[in-house]
Amino acid sequence: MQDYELRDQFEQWAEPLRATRAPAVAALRSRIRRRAARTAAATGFAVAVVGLMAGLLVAVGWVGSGKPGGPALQAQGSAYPAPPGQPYVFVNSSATFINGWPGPATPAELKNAATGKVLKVLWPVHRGVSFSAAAAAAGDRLFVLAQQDSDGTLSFAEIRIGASGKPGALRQVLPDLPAPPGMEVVNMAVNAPATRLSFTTAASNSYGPSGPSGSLVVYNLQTGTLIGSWPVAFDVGASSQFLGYGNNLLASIGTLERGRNLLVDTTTAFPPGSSLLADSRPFGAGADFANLAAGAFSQDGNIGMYEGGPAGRVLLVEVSAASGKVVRNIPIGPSSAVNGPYFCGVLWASANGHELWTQCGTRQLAIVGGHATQIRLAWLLPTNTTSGASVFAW
Amino acid sequence: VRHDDQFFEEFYFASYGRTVALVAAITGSRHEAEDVAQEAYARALARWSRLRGYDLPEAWVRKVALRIAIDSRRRLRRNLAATVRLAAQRLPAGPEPADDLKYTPLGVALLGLPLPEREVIVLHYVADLPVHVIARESGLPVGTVKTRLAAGRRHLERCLTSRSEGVA
Repeated sequence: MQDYELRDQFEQWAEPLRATRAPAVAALRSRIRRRAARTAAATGFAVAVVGLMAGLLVAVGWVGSGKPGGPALQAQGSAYPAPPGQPYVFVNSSATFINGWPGPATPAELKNAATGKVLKVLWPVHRGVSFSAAAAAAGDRLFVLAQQDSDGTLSFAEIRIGASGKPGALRQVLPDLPAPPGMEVVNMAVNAPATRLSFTTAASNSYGPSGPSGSLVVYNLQTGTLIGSWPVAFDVGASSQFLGYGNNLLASIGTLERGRNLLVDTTTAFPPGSSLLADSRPFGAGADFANLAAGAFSQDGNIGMYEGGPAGRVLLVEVSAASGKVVRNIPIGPSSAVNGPYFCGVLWASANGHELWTQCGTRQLAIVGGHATQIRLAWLLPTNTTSGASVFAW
Repeated sequence: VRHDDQFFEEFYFASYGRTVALVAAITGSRHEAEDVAQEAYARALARWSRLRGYDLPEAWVRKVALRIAIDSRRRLRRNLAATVRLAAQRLPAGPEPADDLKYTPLGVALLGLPLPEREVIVLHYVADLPVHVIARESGLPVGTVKTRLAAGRRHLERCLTSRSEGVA
Protein backbone atom coordinates (compact mmCIF):
# COMPACT_ATOMS: atom_id res chain seq x y z
CA MET A 1 0.00 0.00 0.00
CA GLN A 2 1.39 3.39 -1.01
CA ASP A 3 1.53 6.28 1.41
CA TYR A 4 -0.93 8.34 -0.63
CA GLU A 5 -3.44 5.46 -0.53
CA LEU A 6 -3.25 5.37 3.25
CA ARG A 7 -3.60 9.14 3.34
CA ASP A 8 -6.70 8.90 1.12
CA GLN A 9 -8.26 6.38 3.48
CA PHE A 10 -7.63 8.68 6.42
CA GLU A 11 -9.10 11.62 4.52
CA GLN A 12 -12.31 9.73 3.79
CA TRP A 13 -12.49 8.46 7.35
CA ALA A 14 -11.92 11.88 8.95
CA GLU A 15 -14.08 13.96 6.60
CA PRO A 16 -17.44 13.53 8.40
CA LEU A 17 -15.73 14.09 11.72
CA ARG A 18 -14.13 17.34 10.59
CA ALA A 19 -17.62 18.53 9.65
CA THR A 20 -18.83 18.09 13.24
CA ARG A 21 -20.58 21.26 14.38
CA ALA A 22 -19.22 22.82 17.53
CA PRO A 23 -21.71 23.42 20.34
CA ALA A 24 -22.30 26.99 21.51
CA VAL A 25 -19.58 28.67 23.55
CA ALA A 26 -22.03 28.68 26.48
CA ALA A 27 -21.53 24.91 26.74
CA LEU A 28 -17.81 25.51 27.25
CA ARG A 29 -18.50 28.10 29.92
CA SER A 30 -20.66 25.58 31.73
CA ARG A 31 -17.73 23.15 31.68
CA ILE A 32 -15.46 25.84 33.10
CA ARG A 33 -17.82 26.23 36.03
CA ARG A 34 -17.84 22.48 36.67
CA ARG A 35 -14.07 22.36 36.46
CA ALA A 36 -13.77 25.30 38.85
CA ALA A 37 -15.82 23.32 41.34
CA ARG A 38 -13.36 20.44 40.99
CA THR A 39 -10.48 22.89 41.44
CA ALA A 40 -12.08 24.11 44.62
CA ALA A 41 -12.19 20.52 45.83
CA ALA A 42 -8.54 19.98 45.01
CA THR A 43 -7.61 23.29 46.58
CA GLY A 44 -9.41 22.16 49.67
CA PHE A 45 -6.70 19.60 50.00
CA ALA A 46 -3.98 22.17 49.47
CA VAL A 47 -5.58 24.20 52.24
CA ALA A 48 -5.42 21.10 54.38
CA VAL A 49 -1.73 20.74 53.76
CA VAL A 50 -1.18 24.42 54.49
CA GLY A 51 -3.09 24.09 57.72
CA LEU A 52 -1.32 20.94 58.80
CA MET A 53 2.12 22.22 58.11
CA ALA A 54 1.51 25.58 59.70
CA GLY A 55 0.33 23.76 62.78
CA LEU A 56 3.34 21.50 62.75
CA LEU A 57 5.61 24.50 62.82
CA VAL A 58 3.92 25.66 65.98
CA ALA A 59 4.02 22.14 67.39
CA VAL A 60 7.75 21.81 66.88
CA GLY A 61 8.55 25.34 67.96
CA TRP A 62 9.53 27.00 64.70
CA VAL A 63 6.82 29.60 65.04
CA GLY A 64 6.25 31.40 68.26
CA SER A 65 6.05 28.61 70.86
CA GLY A 66 9.41 29.41 72.45
CA LYS A 67 10.50 25.77 72.34
CA PRO A 68 13.58 24.75 70.39
CA GLY A 69 12.85 23.48 66.92
CA GLY A 70 13.59 19.98 65.72
CA PRO A 71 16.41 19.23 63.33
CA ALA A 72 15.96 20.62 59.84
CA LEU A 73 15.07 17.97 57.33
CA GLN A 74 17.40 17.93 54.37
CA ALA A 75 15.39 16.58 51.48
CA GLN A 76 17.39 14.20 49.34
CA GLY A 77 19.02 16.05 46.48
CA SER A 78 17.78 19.36 47.81
CA ALA A 79 19.83 22.48 48.30
CA TYR A 80 17.21 23.83 50.68
CA PRO A 81 16.43 22.44 54.14
CA ALA A 82 12.78 21.73 54.75
CA PRO A 83 11.25 23.37 57.82
CA PRO A 84 11.83 21.51 61.06
CA GLY A 85 9.13 18.95 61.70
CA GLN A 86 7.74 16.44 59.31
CA PRO A 87 5.16 17.65 56.83
CA TYR A 88 2.88 14.85 55.67
CA VAL A 89 0.73 14.48 52.66
CA PHE A 90 -2.18 12.22 51.78
CA VAL A 91 -2.12 10.91 48.22
CA ASN A 92 -4.98 9.04 46.62
CA SER A 93 -3.77 6.47 44.16
CA SER A 94 -6.18 7.52 41.45
CA ALA A 95 -9.29 9.51 40.85
CA THR A 96 -12.51 7.58 41.24
CA PHE A 97 -15.89 7.96 39.66
CA ILE A 98 -18.62 8.46 42.19
CA ASN A 99 -21.39 8.31 39.63
CA GLY A 100 -21.22 6.89 36.15
CA TRP A 101 -18.71 4.14 35.68
CA PRO A 102 -17.34 3.08 39.04
CA GLY A 103 -13.70 2.08 39.10
CA PRO A 104 -12.16 -0.39 41.50
CA ALA A 105 -11.37 0.76 45.02
CA THR A 106 -7.86 2.11 45.23
CA PRO A 107 -5.69 2.64 48.28
CA ALA A 108 -4.21 5.94 49.39
CA GLU A 109 -0.79 6.69 50.76
CA LEU A 110 0.39 8.76 53.67
CA LYS A 111 3.72 10.30 52.70
CA ASN A 112 6.41 12.42 54.14
CA ALA A 113 5.88 15.50 51.98
CA ALA A 114 9.53 16.48 51.79
CA THR A 115 11.08 13.10 51.08
CA GLY A 116 8.19 11.33 49.38
CA LYS A 117 8.65 8.31 51.67
CA VAL A 118 5.45 6.30 52.10
CA LEU A 119 4.58 5.94 55.80
CA LYS A 120 1.41 3.95 55.39
CA VAL A 121 -0.87 2.57 52.70
CA LEU A 122 -4.52 3.20 53.60
CA TRP A 123 -7.58 1.32 52.44
CA PRO A 124 -11.06 2.82 52.91
CA VAL A 125 -13.07 1.64 55.89
CA HIS A 126 -15.88 0.42 53.64
CA ARG A 127 -14.86 -1.98 50.91
CA GLY A 128 -15.38 -1.24 47.25
CA VAL A 129 -14.96 2.55 47.20
CA SER A 130 -12.01 4.93 47.32
CA PHE A 131 -11.37 8.01 49.43
CA SER A 132 -12.97 11.02 47.79
CA ALA A 133 -11.77 13.94 49.92
CA ALA A 134 -9.23 14.68 52.63
CA ALA A 135 -8.50 17.33 55.24
CA ALA A 136 -5.71 17.78 57.75
CA ALA A 137 -5.86 19.43 61.16
CA ALA A 138 -3.26 22.07 61.94
CA GLY A 139 -0.89 21.02 64.66
CA ASP A 140 -2.54 17.75 65.58
CA ARG A 141 -0.98 15.51 62.96
CA LEU A 142 -4.39 14.24 62.05
CA PHE A 143 -6.01 13.56 58.71
CA VAL A 144 -9.74 13.08 58.16
CA LEU A 145 -10.66 11.19 55.01
CA ALA A 146 -14.07 10.95 53.37
CA GLN A 147 -15.50 8.14 51.33
CA GLN A 148 -18.85 7.84 49.62
CA ASP A 149 -20.62 4.59 48.85
CA SER A 150 -22.50 4.08 45.62
CA ASP A 151 -25.80 4.77 47.40
CA GLY A 152 -24.47 8.18 48.46
CA THR A 153 -23.75 7.28 52.10
CA LEU A 154 -20.89 9.38 53.46
CA SER A 155 -18.44 8.09 56.03
CA PHE A 156 -15.38 9.66 57.56
CA ALA A 157 -12.25 8.13 59.03
CA GLU A 158 -9.27 9.64 60.81
CA ILE A 159 -5.64 8.73 61.11
CA ARG A 160 -3.27 10.26 63.63
CA ILE A 161 0.50 10.48 63.39
CA GLY A 162 2.24 9.92 66.70
CA ALA A 163 5.03 12.00 68.18
CA SER A 164 7.52 9.44 66.86
CA GLY A 165 6.23 10.07 63.35
CA LYS A 166 4.50 6.68 63.13
CA PRO A 167 0.89 6.70 61.93
CA GLY A 168 -1.77 4.92 63.98
CA ALA A 169 -4.69 2.88 62.67
CA LEU A 170 -7.42 4.32 60.47
CA ARG A 171 -10.65 4.53 62.43
CA GLN A 172 -14.13 5.73 61.55
CA VAL A 173 -15.36 8.96 63.09
CA LEU A 174 -18.98 10.14 63.02
CA PRO A 175 -21.78 7.72 62.15
CA ASP A 176 -22.50 7.03 58.47
CA LEU A 177 -24.34 10.01 56.98
CA PRO A 178 -26.96 9.76 54.28
CA ALA A 179 -26.26 12.18 51.42
CA PRO A 180 -28.96 13.42 49.06
CA PRO A 181 -28.81 11.51 45.75
CA GLY A 182 -26.41 13.03 43.27
CA MET A 183 -24.48 15.05 45.85
CA GLU A 184 -20.83 14.59 46.68
CA VAL A 185 -18.17 16.13 48.91
CA VAL A 186 -16.07 18.74 47.13
CA ASN A 187 -14.18 20.24 50.03
CA MET A 188 -13.35 19.38 53.65
CA ALA A 189 -11.63 21.12 56.57
CA VAL A 190 -10.74 20.19 60.16
CA ASN A 191 -9.91 22.76 62.83
CA ALA A 192 -6.60 22.72 64.70
CA PRO A 193 -7.87 21.02 67.89
CA ALA A 194 -9.58 18.40 65.68
CA THR A 195 -12.97 19.12 67.24
CA ARG A 196 -14.80 20.42 64.16
CA LEU A 197 -15.17 18.94 60.68
CA SER A 198 -16.70 20.98 57.86
CA PHE A 199 -17.46 19.80 54.37
CA THR A 200 -19.09 21.25 51.26
CA THR A 201 -21.25 19.16 48.99
CA ALA A 202 -22.23 19.87 45.40
CA ALA A 203 -24.51 18.31 42.84
CA SER A 204 -22.51 15.92 40.70
CA ASN A 205 -22.71 14.20 37.38
CA SER A 206 -20.39 11.79 35.64
CA TYR A 207 -17.87 14.58 35.16
CA GLY A 208 -17.67 15.33 38.86
CA PRO A 209 -19.23 18.17 40.78
CA SER A 210 -21.34 20.33 38.52
CA GLY A 211 -22.80 22.89 40.89
CA PRO A 212 -24.35 25.37 41.06
CA SER A 213 -25.83 24.44 44.41
CA GLY A 214 -24.84 22.42 47.40
CA SER A 215 -24.49 22.71 51.13
CA LEU A 216 -21.97 23.57 53.82
CA VAL A 217 -22.09 21.19 56.80
CA VAL A 218 -20.23 21.30 60.13
CA TYR A 219 -20.02 18.46 62.70
CA ASN A 220 -18.58 18.23 66.18
CA LEU A 221 -15.95 15.52 65.76
CA GLN A 222 -15.83 14.70 69.48
CA THR A 223 -19.55 14.21 70.06
CA GLY A 224 -20.64 13.39 66.51
CA THR A 225 -23.40 16.02 66.67
CA LEU A 226 -24.40 18.36 63.86
CA ILE A 227 -23.31 21.98 64.39
CA GLY A 228 -24.89 23.48 61.29
CA SER A 229 -26.02 22.78 57.74
CA TRP A 230 -26.61 25.56 55.25
CA PRO A 231 -27.59 25.53 51.57
CA VAL A 232 -25.09 27.41 49.40
CA ALA A 233 -25.25 28.48 45.76
CA PHE A 234 -22.09 28.90 43.74
CA ASP A 235 -20.94 28.94 40.12
CA VAL A 236 -17.21 29.26 40.44
CA GLY A 237 -16.64 27.13 43.51
CA ALA A 238 -16.99 26.87 47.25
CA SER A 239 -14.36 26.06 49.79
CA SER A 240 -13.93 26.28 53.53
CA GLN A 241 -11.03 26.41 55.94
CA PHE A 242 -10.61 27.02 59.65
CA LEU A 243 -8.65 30.14 60.55
CA GLY A 244 -6.46 30.40 63.62
CA TYR A 245 -6.63 27.59 66.15
CA GLY A 246 -10.26 27.74 67.26
CA ASN A 247 -13.69 27.24 65.73
CA ASN A 248 -13.75 30.11 63.20
CA LEU A 249 -14.72 28.68 59.84
CA LEU A 250 -14.12 30.74 56.71
CA ALA A 251 -16.42 29.86 53.82
CA SER A 252 -15.41 31.19 50.39
CA ILE A 253 -18.32 31.11 47.99
CA GLY A 254 -17.58 32.10 44.39
CA THR A 255 -20.15 33.11 41.82
CA LEU A 256 -19.62 34.50 38.36
CA GLU A 257 -20.59 37.95 39.61
CA ARG A 258 -18.53 38.11 42.78
CA GLY A 259 -16.92 36.14 45.55
CA ARG A 260 -18.05 36.19 49.13
CA ASN A 261 -16.02 35.29 52.21
CA LEU A 262 -18.05 34.54 55.31
CA LEU A 263 -16.76 33.79 58.80
CA VAL A 264 -18.82 31.47 60.99
CA ASP A 265 -18.14 30.80 64.66
CA THR A 266 -18.88 27.08 64.96
CA THR A 267 -18.52 26.89 68.75
CA THR A 268 -22.25 26.33 69.28
CA ALA A 269 -24.88 24.58 67.17
CA PHE A 270 -27.19 26.47 64.81
CA PRO A 271 -30.91 25.72 64.52
CA PRO A 272 -31.99 23.76 61.42
CA GLY A 273 -33.09 25.89 58.49
CA SER A 274 -31.00 28.91 59.41
CA SER A 275 -29.27 30.93 56.72
CA LEU A 276 -25.50 31.12 56.26
CA LEU A 277 -25.69 34.86 55.67
CA ALA A 278 -27.53 35.36 58.96
CA ASP A 279 -25.23 33.02 60.89
CA SER A 280 -21.98 34.54 59.63
CA ARG A 281 -20.20 37.83 59.27
CA PRO A 282 -18.33 39.10 56.20
CA PHE A 283 -14.63 38.46 56.21
CA GLY A 284 -12.04 40.65 54.52
CA ALA A 285 -12.34 44.08 53.04
CA GLY A 286 -15.40 43.36 50.95
CA ALA A 287 -13.31 43.28 47.77
CA ASP A 288 -14.07 40.81 45.03
CA PHE A 289 -12.60 37.57 46.34
CA ALA A 290 -14.11 35.40 43.59
CA ASN A 291 -10.70 33.97 42.78
CA LEU A 292 -10.23 32.89 46.37
CA ALA A 293 -13.01 30.31 46.08
CA ALA A 294 -10.26 28.37 44.32
CA GLY A 295 -7.46 29.68 46.51
CA ALA A 296 -6.59 29.78 50.19
CA PHE A 297 -5.89 32.12 53.08
CA SER A 298 -2.87 31.90 55.33
CA GLN A 299 -3.60 30.25 58.66
CA ASP A 300 -3.74 33.63 60.43
CA GLY A 301 -6.26 34.90 57.86
CA ASN A 302 -4.18 37.91 56.82
CA ILE A 303 -3.16 36.90 53.30
CA GLY A 304 -5.24 35.34 50.53
CA MET A 305 -3.45 33.44 47.77
CA TYR A 306 -4.54 32.31 44.33
CA GLU A 307 -2.95 31.61 40.98
CA GLY A 308 -3.39 33.93 38.01
CA GLY A 309 -1.22 35.74 35.56
CA PRO A 310 -0.54 37.00 32.07
CA ALA A 311 0.45 35.01 28.99
CA GLY A 312 3.22 32.54 29.43
CA ARG A 313 3.54 32.33 33.19
CA VAL A 314 1.64 31.57 36.36
CA LEU A 315 1.69 34.16 39.11
CA LEU A 316 0.95 33.54 42.75
CA VAL A 317 -1.22 36.52 43.65
CA GLU A 318 -1.19 37.56 47.30
CA VAL A 319 -4.08 39.70 48.50
CA SER A 320 -4.38 41.52 51.80
CA ALA A 321 -7.51 40.40 53.63
CA ALA A 322 -7.62 43.75 55.41
CA SER A 323 -7.53 46.00 52.35
CA GLY A 324 -8.53 43.62 49.55
CA LYS A 325 -5.55 44.90 47.56
CA VAL A 326 -2.91 42.84 45.82
CA VAL A 327 0.20 42.72 47.99
CA ARG A 328 2.51 41.08 45.47
CA ASN A 329 2.62 38.91 42.37
CA ILE A 330 5.20 36.13 42.41
CA PRO A 331 5.96 34.17 39.20
CA ILE A 332 5.99 30.48 40.09
CA GLY A 333 6.19 28.73 36.74
CA PRO A 334 5.26 28.59 33.07
CA SER A 335 1.58 28.55 32.11
CA SER A 336 2.24 25.38 30.11
CA ALA A 337 2.62 23.57 33.45
CA VAL A 338 -1.00 24.20 34.40
CA ASN A 339 -2.26 21.30 32.32
CA GLY A 340 0.76 19.11 32.92
CA PRO A 341 1.06 15.98 35.04
CA TYR A 342 2.34 17.85 38.11
CA PHE A 343 0.59 20.15 40.56
CA CYS A 344 0.83 23.92 40.10
CA GLY A 345 0.22 26.07 43.20
CA VAL A 346 1.12 26.46 46.85
CA LEU A 347 2.45 23.31 48.54
CA TRP A 348 3.04 24.76 51.96
CA ALA A 349 2.72 28.09 53.74
CA SER A 350 3.83 29.31 57.13
CA ALA A 351 1.07 30.48 59.46
CA ASN A 352 1.42 34.12 58.40
CA GLY A 353 2.04 33.37 54.71
CA HIS A 354 5.48 34.98 54.87
CA GLU A 355 7.20 31.75 53.85
CA LEU A 356 5.95 29.47 51.13
CA TRP A 357 6.77 26.39 49.14
CA THR A 358 5.33 26.34 45.65
CA GLN A 359 5.38 23.90 42.81
CA CYS A 360 4.38 24.59 39.23
CA GLY A 361 5.06 21.63 37.00
CA THR A 362 8.58 20.50 37.80
CA ARG A 363 9.67 23.89 39.18
CA GLN A 364 9.71 24.11 42.98
CA LEU A 365 10.39 27.33 44.87
CA ALA A 366 10.95 28.42 48.44
CA ILE A 367 9.63 31.97 48.84
CA VAL A 368 10.52 34.07 51.86
CA GLY A 369 9.06 37.56 51.99
CA GLY A 370 8.46 37.54 48.26
CA HIS A 371 12.03 36.48 47.41
CA ALA A 372 12.03 33.17 45.53
CA THR A 373 14.77 30.53 45.53
CA GLN A 374 14.57 27.43 43.38
CA ILE A 375 14.55 24.21 45.42
CA ARG A 376 14.28 20.54 44.60
CA LEU A 377 12.30 18.32 46.92
CA ALA A 378 12.72 14.59 46.56
CA TRP A 379 9.38 14.20 44.78
CA LEU A 380 6.84 16.10 42.74
CA LEU A 381 3.21 16.35 43.77
CA PRO A 382 1.17 14.98 40.89
CA THR A 383 -2.03 16.45 39.55
CA ASN A 384 -4.85 14.85 37.68
CA THR A 385 -5.78 16.05 34.23
CA THR A 386 -8.15 13.30 33.20
CA SER A 387 -11.63 14.28 32.18
CA GLY A 388 -14.56 12.53 33.74
CA ALA A 389 -12.83 12.05 37.07
CA SER A 390 -14.86 12.84 40.13
CA VAL A 391 -13.75 14.44 43.38
CA PHE A 392 -10.43 13.23 44.58
CA ALA A 393 -7.74 14.14 47.01
CA TRP A 394 -4.08 13.79 46.25
CA VAL B 1 -13.10 41.92 25.61
CA ARG B 2 -15.56 41.73 22.76
CA HIS B 3 -12.68 41.44 20.31
CA ASP B 4 -11.20 38.63 22.42
CA ASP B 5 -14.53 36.79 22.49
CA GLN B 6 -14.87 37.07 18.72
CA PHE B 7 -11.32 35.89 18.21
CA PHE B 8 -11.93 32.86 20.40
CA GLU B 9 -15.22 32.02 18.68
CA GLU B 10 -13.62 32.19 15.26
CA PHE B 11 -10.78 29.98 16.39
CA TYR B 12 -13.12 27.55 18.15
CA PHE B 13 -15.65 27.11 15.33
CA ALA B 14 -12.92 26.86 12.70
CA SER B 15 -10.80 24.24 14.45
CA TYR B 16 -13.34 22.19 16.45
CA GLY B 17 -13.99 19.57 13.77
CA ARG B 18 -10.28 18.99 13.22
CA THR B 19 -9.79 18.39 16.93
CA VAL B 20 -12.76 15.99 17.08
CA ALA B 21 -11.33 13.99 14.16
CA LEU B 22 -7.94 13.83 15.81
CA VAL B 23 -9.28 12.62 19.15
CA ALA B 24 -11.72 10.18 17.56
CA ALA B 25 -8.77 8.49 15.89
CA ILE B 26 -7.26 7.93 19.34
CA THR B 27 -10.41 6.90 21.21
CA GLY B 28 -12.40 5.22 18.44
CA SER B 29 -15.55 6.90 19.71
CA ARG B 30 -17.12 10.01 18.27
CA HIS B 31 -19.06 10.69 21.47
CA GLU B 32 -15.94 10.50 23.59
CA ALA B 33 -13.99 12.56 21.06
CA GLU B 34 -16.52 15.38 21.23
CA ASP B 35 -16.47 15.25 25.02
CA VAL B 36 -12.68 15.43 25.12
CA ALA B 37 -12.55 18.19 22.50
CA GLN B 38 -15.04 20.30 24.43
CA GLU B 39 -13.04 19.84 27.61
CA ALA B 40 -9.88 20.98 25.80
CA TYR B 41 -11.61 24.05 24.34
CA ALA B 42 -13.10 24.88 27.74
CA ARG B 43 -9.57 24.90 29.16
CA ALA B 44 -8.46 27.07 26.27
CA LEU B 45 -11.32 29.50 26.87
CA ALA B 46 -10.42 29.74 30.57
CA ARG B 47 -6.85 30.66 29.58
CA TRP B 48 -7.62 32.64 26.46
CA SER B 49 -5.92 35.78 27.77
CA ARG B 50 -2.67 33.78 27.68
CA LEU B 51 -3.33 31.61 24.64
CA ARG B 52 -4.36 34.43 22.32
CA GLY B 53 -0.71 35.48 22.30
CA TYR B 54 0.43 32.10 21.02
CA ASP B 55 1.34 31.69 17.37
CA LEU B 56 -0.68 28.49 17.16
CA PRO B 57 -3.35 28.17 19.86
CA GLU B 58 -4.65 25.12 17.98
CA ALA B 59 -1.40 23.32 18.77
CA TRP B 60 -2.07 23.92 22.47
CA VAL B 61 -5.63 22.62 22.19
CA ARG B 62 -4.43 19.61 20.21
CA LYS B 63 -1.85 18.77 22.84
CA VAL B 64 -4.30 19.09 25.73
CA ALA B 65 -6.99 17.10 23.90
CA LEU B 66 -4.58 14.29 23.11
CA ARG B 67 -3.37 14.12 26.68
CA ILE B 68 -6.93 13.97 28.00
CA ALA B 69 -7.79 11.27 25.45
CA ILE B 70 -4.73 9.19 26.19
CA ASP B 71 -5.11 9.55 29.96
CA SER B 72 -8.73 8.56 29.56
CA ARG B 73 -7.69 5.45 27.59
CA ARG B 74 -5.16 4.46 30.24
CA ARG B 75 -7.62 5.00 33.06
CA LEU B 76 -10.21 2.96 31.26
CA ARG B 77 -7.76 0.13 30.79
CA ARG B 78 -6.87 0.16 34.51
CA ASN B 79 -10.49 0.12 35.52
CA LEU B 80 -11.49 -2.46 32.99
CA ALA B 81 -9.91 -5.45 34.70
CA ALA B 82 -11.85 -4.93 37.89
CA THR B 83 -15.12 -4.03 36.25
CA VAL B 84 -15.37 -6.69 33.60
CA ARG B 85 -18.80 -7.73 34.70
CA LEU B 86 -20.13 -4.17 34.74
CA ALA B 87 -18.51 -3.41 31.43
CA ALA B 88 -20.05 -6.45 29.83
CA GLN B 89 -23.47 -5.25 30.89
CA ARG B 90 -22.84 -1.85 29.36
CA LEU B 91 -21.26 -2.80 26.05
CA PRO B 92 -23.59 -2.22 23.12
CA ALA B 93 -24.45 -5.29 21.05
CA GLY B 94 -23.34 -3.54 17.88
CA PRO B 95 -22.35 -0.17 16.51
CA GLU B 96 -24.51 2.76 17.52
CA PRO B 97 -25.41 5.33 14.86
CA ALA B 98 -22.82 7.93 15.85
CA ASP B 99 -20.27 5.59 17.34
CA ASP B 100 -19.23 3.37 14.48
CA LEU B 101 -15.62 4.46 13.98
CA LYS B 102 -14.20 1.48 15.75
CA TYR B 103 -16.12 -0.83 13.41
CA THR B 104 -14.64 0.55 10.16
CA PRO B 105 -11.59 -1.29 8.75
CA LEU B 106 -9.35 1.72 9.38
CA GLY B 107 -10.81 2.19 12.87
CA VAL B 108 -10.18 -1.45 13.76
CA ALA B 109 -6.62 -1.23 12.46
CA LEU B 110 -5.98 2.02 14.35
CA LEU B 111 -7.28 0.68 17.64
CA GLY B 112 -4.93 -2.28 17.29
CA LEU B 113 -1.94 0.06 17.44
CA PRO B 114 -0.14 0.72 20.73
CA LEU B 115 -0.95 4.23 21.98
CA PRO B 116 2.49 5.81 21.30
CA GLU B 117 2.40 4.65 17.67
CA ARG B 118 -1.26 5.53 17.26
CA GLU B 119 -0.60 9.07 18.49
CA VAL B 120 2.17 9.62 15.94
CA ILE B 121 0.14 8.09 13.10
CA VAL B 122 -2.86 10.23 13.93
CA LEU B 123 -0.81 13.43 14.14
CA HIS B 124 0.75 12.66 10.78
CA TYR B 125 -2.26 11.43 8.80
CA VAL B 126 -5.22 13.12 10.50
CA ALA B 127 -3.67 16.40 11.70
CA ASP B 128 -1.41 16.39 8.64
CA LEU B 129 1.68 17.38 10.61
CA PRO B 130 5.20 16.78 9.29
CA VAL B 131 7.61 14.67 11.32
CA HIS B 132 9.63 17.55 12.77
CA VAL B 133 6.49 19.30 14.05
CA ILE B 134 5.25 16.07 15.66
CA ALA B 135 8.64 15.71 17.31
CA ARG B 136 8.52 19.27 18.64
CA GLU B 137 4.92 19.03 19.90
CA SER B 138 5.43 15.62 21.49
CA GLY B 139 8.85 16.36 22.94
CA LEU B 140 10.29 13.31 21.15
CA PRO B 141 13.45 12.95 19.08
CA VAL B 142 12.80 13.03 15.33
CA GLY B 143 14.24 9.51 15.04
CA THR B 144 11.71 8.15 17.54
CA VAL B 145 8.84 9.76 15.64
CA LYS B 146 10.08 8.23 12.38
CA THR B 147 10.44 4.79 13.98
CA ARG B 148 6.93 4.90 15.44
CA LEU B 149 5.51 6.20 12.18
CA ALA B 150 7.13 3.38 10.23
CA ALA B 151 5.99 0.71 12.70
CA GLY B 152 2.46 2.11 12.74
CA ARG B 153 2.29 2.28 8.97
CA ARG B 154 3.45 -1.35 8.66
CA HIS B 155 0.73 -2.43 11.10
CA LEU B 156 -1.98 -0.48 9.26
CA GLU B 157 -0.90 -1.79 5.88
CA ARG B 158 -0.86 -5.34 7.20
CA CYS B 159 -4.34 -5.03 8.72
CA LEU B 160 -5.95 -3.21 5.80
CA THR B 161 -4.38 -5.46 3.15
CA SER B 162 -5.30 -8.71 4.89
CA ARG B 163 -8.82 -7.43 5.42
CA SER B 164 -9.30 -6.49 1.76
CA GLU B 165 -7.84 -9.87 0.72
CA GLY B 166 -10.21 -11.61 3.11
CA VAL B 167 -13.16 -9.74 1.65
CA ALA B 168 -12.05 -10.56 -1.90
